[in-house]
Amino acid sequence: MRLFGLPPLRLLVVAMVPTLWAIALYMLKLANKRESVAYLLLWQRVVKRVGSGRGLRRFETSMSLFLQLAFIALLTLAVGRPRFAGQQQAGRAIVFVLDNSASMHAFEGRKERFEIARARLSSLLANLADSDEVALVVTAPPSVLVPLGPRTASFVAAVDRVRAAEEPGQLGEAVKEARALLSARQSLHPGSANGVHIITDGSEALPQFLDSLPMAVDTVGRARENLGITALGARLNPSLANTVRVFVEVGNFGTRRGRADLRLSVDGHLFAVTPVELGPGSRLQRSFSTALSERGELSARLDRITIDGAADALAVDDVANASMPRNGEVKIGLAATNPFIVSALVAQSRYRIEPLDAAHIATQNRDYAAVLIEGALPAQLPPGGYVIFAPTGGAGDLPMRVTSTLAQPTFTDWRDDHPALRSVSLADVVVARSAKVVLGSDTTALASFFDEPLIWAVDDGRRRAVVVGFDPSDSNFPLHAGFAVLIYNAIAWVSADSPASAPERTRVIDARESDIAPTKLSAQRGSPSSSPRFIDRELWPLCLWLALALLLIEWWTYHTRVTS
Amino acid sequence: VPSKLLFAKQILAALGYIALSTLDQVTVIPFDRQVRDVSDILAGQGRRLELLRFLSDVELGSKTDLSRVMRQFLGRFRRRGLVILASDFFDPEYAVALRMLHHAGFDCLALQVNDAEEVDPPFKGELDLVDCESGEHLSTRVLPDAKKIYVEEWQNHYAQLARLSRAFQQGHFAVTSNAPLEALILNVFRRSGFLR
Repeated sequence: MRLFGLPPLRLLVVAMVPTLWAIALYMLKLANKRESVAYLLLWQRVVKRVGSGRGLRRFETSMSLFLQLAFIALLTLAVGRPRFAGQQQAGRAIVFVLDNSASMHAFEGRKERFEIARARLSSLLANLADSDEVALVVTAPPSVLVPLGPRTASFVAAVDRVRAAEEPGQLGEAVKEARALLSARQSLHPGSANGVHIITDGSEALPQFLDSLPMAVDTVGRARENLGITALGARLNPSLANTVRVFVEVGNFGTRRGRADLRLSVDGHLFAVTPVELGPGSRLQRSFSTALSERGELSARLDRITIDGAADALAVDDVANASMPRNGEVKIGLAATNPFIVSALVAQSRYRIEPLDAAHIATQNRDYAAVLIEGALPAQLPPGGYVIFAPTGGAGDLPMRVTSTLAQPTFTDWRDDHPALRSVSLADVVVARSAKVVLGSDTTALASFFDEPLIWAVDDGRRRAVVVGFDPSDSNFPLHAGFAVLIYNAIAWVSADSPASAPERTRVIDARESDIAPTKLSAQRGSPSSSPRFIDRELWPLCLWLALALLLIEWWTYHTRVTS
Repeated sequence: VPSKLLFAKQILAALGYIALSTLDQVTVIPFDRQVRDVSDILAGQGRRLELLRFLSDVELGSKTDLSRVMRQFLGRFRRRGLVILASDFFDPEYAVALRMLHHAGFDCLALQVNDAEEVDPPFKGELDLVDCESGEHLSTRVLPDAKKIYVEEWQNHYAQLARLSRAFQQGHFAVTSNAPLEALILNVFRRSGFLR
């Protein structure tokens, strides 16, 4: 325990005055009150039986004084602002993990959560010992802002400079960074006390490995109402030239019904306004058409938000931005004759298709955004993007090996989080036969029949490929809308770095950040943990409470005449 | 304890009034450590006012000495009759006095008069207790358990008086100064044989 208020000597002086005063009053009080009785003999017998105040009874007489002295001592101690610090010893190392994710923009009353968190951090810093070392790690993006070192003015300045980001936080990654800092110090100073102090709004769950880490968690904020845009995207409309389909998703992350106007604009020109109404915890998807605007900036905004009896706590997710798709032609090399593949390509007006001879791809590759190959692969594939169907004739120099054929596989697993399979459903696809392959490094199974990959992706840094292990004609896949979508997605993914494609810029707050209720963390904090934790706590409120309790005891004992 | 004295005087006045009304003779003998001014032997209804005046003039004395008082009384009054001994009996020698009365052949009614505060003392805590008669001091702490013991001692003290009265076939009647006077007097009268 350390004192952060008056130094001990001054505290003694401060305590001396009321202590002497209490003792003086007690001595004066020792002159007993006189009471007249009719027959003293009875009281003499009583005294004979009860005793005249020996042992504990003598203590009872002085109990009032003891209580008063304890009361003064506690008040004096409170003035000294004692703090109790578990593992308190010189040279602690504390890594502060400050959550600066988008959800920290949420307002708690008049202040943003991040401002509250930063104030709390400043308060903690002010109470550290000079010999303590501190570091600062933020979560969005997870990075070490200040490595472990003494608490200097530059550290405080760094804390002041931190701002809440407008992107999702990665608390787990940030804590990994903190742990790495502590591990490095532990190796230099074995046995030294260290720990992590997390200040967060609890919108992210803590990773499980934290159980082995000495830590303390400070939470700011509580569950509040929030309406936010959780998805925004724009794609060229394949069925109507020079138009774009815009997709927007709005979510209600509160417990009350909310309404708003959803306003969509391109380069500041409004093209759609629609009212949206969402029940608690619901999501709403809307799609719109607009004219293609070359290099335009798409913007979605929730306006005039009204939530039953509450305010929208988080403003940053009320606006989302995305770039409009480019209308440039995509040059496709086609080394396939399958009519389903050709039909899917022809349906996309942006594609300029040039036939290729697969055997001579190495010499004929002329800056294609993607090359579609069916059947046997050439011995060597030059850098670029490829969409490959039924690689039955061999695997070329791609990191995979075709071993045999799978009969009548079905799709049991697929990764719809991969760009190539976005919006593609393989649930009802039936395949007669597919290549049985062994995947090497730099490959990812996208869809599989148990452990046998049926569709997979290759990315070795120079080449990207999406490989469909079966002939579309040997399946009912071409009869599904997902077939064409898969081809378009695959071309977009494999051609991501080609000159014909351009990166899509999107700024949408993640739905996890829009969900600003600190439930996940609260649940986890409730779980028992045997790991040692830093306890750094102001004790003056406890002193005051104890003093108040003593005051009540003194009052009670006086009025029941246990003391006088 | 003035209220106790007043209460005793009221009871005795009522008893004396009735006695004079029934043509009995009445003598009032105030006492403390000794017999004080004794009233005349009063007889007849015409002396009732004199009785009341005499009683009202009785004042507090000093410490009680019942055995000495009883010796003085028996030395002056030989004719037997009913003695109503009104006292708080806060005297260790009261048993001697009762015995002397008994052996002298007097009928006796021990009228025990107490203050309500004597039964349940209102004070607590660290106190300097002073005997109102002797002026003796006792510094003690009156805690709830001490009060409980006091009540026990108080009850023992008067239980002994009651036993002694029974043994001498004497009457014993206890009153506290906060009791309703009319009901009490009727009760005393019946017990003492004034009323039937």
